[in-house]
Amino acid sequence: MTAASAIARKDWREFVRDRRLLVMAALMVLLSLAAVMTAYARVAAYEADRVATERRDRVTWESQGERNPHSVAHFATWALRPLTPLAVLEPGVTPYAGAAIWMEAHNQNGARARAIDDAAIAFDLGTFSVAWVLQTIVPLLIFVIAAGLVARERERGTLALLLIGGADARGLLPRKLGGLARIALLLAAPVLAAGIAAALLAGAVDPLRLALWTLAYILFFGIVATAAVAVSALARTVSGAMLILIGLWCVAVLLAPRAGVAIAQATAPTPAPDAFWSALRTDLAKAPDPFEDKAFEAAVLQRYGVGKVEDLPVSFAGLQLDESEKHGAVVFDRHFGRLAAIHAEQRAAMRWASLLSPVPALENVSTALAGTDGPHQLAFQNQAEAHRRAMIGALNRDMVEHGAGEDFDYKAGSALWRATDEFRFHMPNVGATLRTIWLDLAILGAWALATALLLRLASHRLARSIV
Amino acid sequence: MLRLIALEARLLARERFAWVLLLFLALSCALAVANGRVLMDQQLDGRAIAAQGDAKARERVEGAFAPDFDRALAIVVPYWVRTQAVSPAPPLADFSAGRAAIEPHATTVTLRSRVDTLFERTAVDNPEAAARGSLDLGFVAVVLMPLALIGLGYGLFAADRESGAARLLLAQGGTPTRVLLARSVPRLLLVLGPLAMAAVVLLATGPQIDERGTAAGWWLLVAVALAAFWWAVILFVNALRIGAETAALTLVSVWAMLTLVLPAAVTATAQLAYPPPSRFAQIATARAAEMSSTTAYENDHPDLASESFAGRLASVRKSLSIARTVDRAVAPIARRFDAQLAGQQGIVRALAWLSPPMIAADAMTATAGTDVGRSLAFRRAAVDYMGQTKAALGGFIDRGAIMTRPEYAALPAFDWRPEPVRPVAQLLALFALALLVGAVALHRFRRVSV
Repeated sequence: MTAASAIARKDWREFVRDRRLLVMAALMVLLSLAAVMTAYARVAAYEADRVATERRDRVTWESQGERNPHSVAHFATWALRPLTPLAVLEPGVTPYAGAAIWMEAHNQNGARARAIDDAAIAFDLGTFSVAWVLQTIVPLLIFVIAAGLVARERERGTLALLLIGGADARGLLPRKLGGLARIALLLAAPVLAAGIAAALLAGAVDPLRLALWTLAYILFFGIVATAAVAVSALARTVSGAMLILIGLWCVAVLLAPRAGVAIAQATAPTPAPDAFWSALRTDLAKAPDPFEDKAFEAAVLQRYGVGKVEDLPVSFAGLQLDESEKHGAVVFDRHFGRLAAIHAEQRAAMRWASLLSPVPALENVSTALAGTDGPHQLAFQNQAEAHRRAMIGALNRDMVEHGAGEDFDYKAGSALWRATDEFRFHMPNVGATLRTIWLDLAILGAWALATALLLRLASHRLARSIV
Repeated sequence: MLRLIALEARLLARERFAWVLLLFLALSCALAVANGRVLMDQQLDGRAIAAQGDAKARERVEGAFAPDFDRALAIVVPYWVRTQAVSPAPPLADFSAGRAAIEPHATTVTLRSRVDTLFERTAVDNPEAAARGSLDLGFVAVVLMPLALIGLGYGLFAADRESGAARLLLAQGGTPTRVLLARSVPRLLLVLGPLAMAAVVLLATGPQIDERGTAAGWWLLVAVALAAFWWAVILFVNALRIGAETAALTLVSVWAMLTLVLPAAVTATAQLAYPPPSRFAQIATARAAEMSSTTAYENDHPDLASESFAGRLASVRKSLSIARTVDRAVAPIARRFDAQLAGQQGIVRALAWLSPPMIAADAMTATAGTDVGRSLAFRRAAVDYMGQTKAALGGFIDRGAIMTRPEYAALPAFDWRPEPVRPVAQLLALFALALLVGAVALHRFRRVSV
């Protein structure tokens, strides 16, 4: 038996004998399984509901009968955001972001139907999910288990015996880390396995995303375990080590992500909703209204070489509507673009919290790979807006081309509604997703390096302590 | 006794850990104060903008009262009216953010408003920031403060018992109760001090809102009651015959269970027990109802439909009829939403009694005016107001009457004022728990053998 496996076996035996830790571990596994089941139920119900609603609404859309295309543009359609199967593991921003966008004429609407609006929670410390357990509870458990790994040996005097007995002082901590890794793996494995099984049951999972997601968490647990063993080696007593580790956990898991939000709000404050919508309305009102603008009428008459509107070979109202949409698009792009830029600045600002903890970077990686982060939500909103403009443009074009002389009395048939594309959200590919989180992956790598150096420092100190 | 407390305070001041903890709490409180002020400013600014209303819409309506205004167009004027429902500013949003940042605090009511779309244009916040949560004074009090107390108190007596110093201490200091009291006072002050200071700073620099001072007093009392509960638990664990390490482990486990696990489990249980109906189904139902009752363009632009009085009246009546059909179709779903949310709220309230941190958090947000109950009450009041406004405006169209200036001025105004919350029951429960656990702990200490 090698020294490494002997130490790992001893640590495992101690862990099993310590009923306090066993009870905590069992509770954690039960909690995780509950999280997996509730998340699976939530995602499955959501997706079934979304698909059924889309089907029902398509029937409504296609059975409108003969109508004026602009009336149909007002009725419009809805974009409903799909959830990826990996949302079972990581809900990310989805409870806090709108899931439905009304793609109507004249307006770019915000996403609405947020799950958080329909939840009676005021004390919100995160959505109960596998990711929440892995980011919050598992590190706490690893810290609690690891606190005594070296410090207890020192307290009992067995550390000195080990080292005097010829144990390699520099190799001891990596071996302790190996033992802890086995324990952590045994704790995390059922959680990960149940989560992954639920995600696979929920739909077709992108294997690359899933593999990267799992690797990110393994790296995170590696960081947590390495830091824990180093602290246990540097601390004089078990309770001292535990105190430091709980403090670190508190800063890393509870405080740092929230501190990031505070930095973000201070550096790039979100406008008040009323101010945002009021400024948008004011800008829209400033744009010349093609229904009242004589210059627009003159330009159209000149373009078609006619003297009065009645002689136009196309629907003048259709052209006015189209022009109005173009004016609107400029204003929407400006205001929503500014809002997206503020959110991007906030995302960058929230990253500064990674100086205190690897958790903000892990959250970015975890949500991005699950397809539940801010950029994925923005992609949904942008795709919905692009679809809205294409759909309204097509309806206006039909009115322009076929509604000459009739304008708002012109009626198109069901063939036009059937020819309108349904909204389909195209998830950004893995390459595009990785481009949004490369910095977060680098931050996790830096944390891994920093904790490895800390472990090395602790090893050196341990070696020096026997000289 | 005072000398003993002073001695313990001096001993505590010599501990580097105490200073690190004080710095940590002070920084957390400073961050919470900064966040609170930003949130409060946003809340007040947003309400001020909303209260101004839509000047252009008002001007348009006022213009319709001119003697030479086209009578045929005047029948459409009820559709131009835009009024505001603005909730009063929560007195302590800067103390406990609760749902202030995510809940709508204002909405515009028109004849086109519907129960399912009344609060549609509200959210422009960053969902990533919302998902991470905010650091407010409530978070410091409910989440961080107990951990700080555990850090200061896990070895309060257990460490001395383990090292054998307890015997000496008791010989010098008298009864364990005296020693524990002397040790407790400076530690509790160390933790509660920064919190109270932060509250004073917020009060001194914050806005003048009715009931703010009184609400802050209640809020602080809840924080003190929660601290008392945790200190009682710490004393109880110290009274067990266990070492400092086990005491720390036990206390952290109890904290994690009560503060992290139980609230998450309670929320999940409430949502499983009372799942809200589908928002998607609500959308589809409204659209199907609208489609089945109209195929005409007049629904969208009644002012362009016809130039005669009779034609426009027929058009707006049709619009109103369609809107009422949609209202009737979505009403049952809206009622189900209300019922399910009330159910969730009920189960969360009932199960919150299992977790003192939840009791305290609920009491703090209720006092701050940022709790679920107040949000739901505002939403209900706004829906009622929408009903009154639509009935008044729709009445003109039903009667075929043109709205006059006095009638416009006499339209209902939104005037909803929530009753201030006094968390007496929660306070009593927290203090009672603290007394109970503390009494058991002291009883055990009296029989202590070191």
